[in-house]
Amino acid sequence: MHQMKWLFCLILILFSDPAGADKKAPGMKAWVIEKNSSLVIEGSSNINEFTCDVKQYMNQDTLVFFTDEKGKHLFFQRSALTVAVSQFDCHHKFITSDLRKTLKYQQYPNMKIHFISMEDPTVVSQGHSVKGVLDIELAGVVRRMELVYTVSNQHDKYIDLTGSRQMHFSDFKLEPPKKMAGLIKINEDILVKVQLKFRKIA
Amino acid sequence: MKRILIAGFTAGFVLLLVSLGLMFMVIKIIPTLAEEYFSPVFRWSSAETDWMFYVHPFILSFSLKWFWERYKDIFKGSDLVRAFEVALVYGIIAMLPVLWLTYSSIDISLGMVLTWLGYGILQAFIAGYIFSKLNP
Repeated sequence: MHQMKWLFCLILILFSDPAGADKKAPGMKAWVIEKNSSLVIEGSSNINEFTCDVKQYMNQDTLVFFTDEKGKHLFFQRSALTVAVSQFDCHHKFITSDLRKTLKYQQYPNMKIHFISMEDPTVVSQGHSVKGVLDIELAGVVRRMELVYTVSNQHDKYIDLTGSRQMHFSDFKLEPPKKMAGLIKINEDILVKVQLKFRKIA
Repeated sequence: MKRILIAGFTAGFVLLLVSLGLMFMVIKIIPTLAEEYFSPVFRWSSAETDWMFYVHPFILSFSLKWFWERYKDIFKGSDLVRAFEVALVYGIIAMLPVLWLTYSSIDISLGMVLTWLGYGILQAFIAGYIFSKLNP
């Protein structure tokens, strides 16, 4: 068994190409996630409702993908959107601080959205929807989820997608903040909304 | 001893109900103030400390019971007047200096401190009234 592990590692080393890991293989396409993409979390407490957002997406991550033979689905490779949890602003200093603490931002500073696959949004017209699969990595827990995107803007060089999904803190093994022996509490349900603006580069 | 225990637990139970009721009232009537409880200065709810929150009315009740038994002879008049005097003494001697210090050293609003002062005085009034009725 031990020898098998070593053999497996050896095969991985021989066949991997770290230097070319970020190179785009022939037939692959790429979209750059524009800075003005946004991520919004809508939540509530037993006192009021709140909205936390990251209005400006600071990283310019690139999504690399290939399409299937029928040209109906995009399959992404090593394509993730990274958001610093410290950028979340709930427009309420106490809730902002509690949300960041809930998301364990000191231990896990980034939330990552790994794009797995998506129905090709370039073949549908504006206003129509496509389904996609994502891995959301938050506070060290990864959850695979399906998201329905609406094509909000369709252009030769740009494409904008919007999507939302109901989630729960417990999906990521997180416990929403409670104060005063549980009499003041943030509710378990959150609505995550994304507005993704892609620039097509190939 | 039995009288003391009955009065102490009765007042403690009533104070617990009042504290829960007032907390829900604050959430409904002054939500901006209730939001302040999300401040980092307040401890997160946990099994280790939550029980202390629910025991506090009984701590207060038995403390005031001790005070009542020692000094009840100086409070004259009807039950309501005696309860009001207990509340005033407790508010001025116990609450005011501590809350003064709390406001000077912890980042909480004046509104929050004033609600605590009012809450403390109300608690002492209720306990004083129960003691005056049960152990005059």
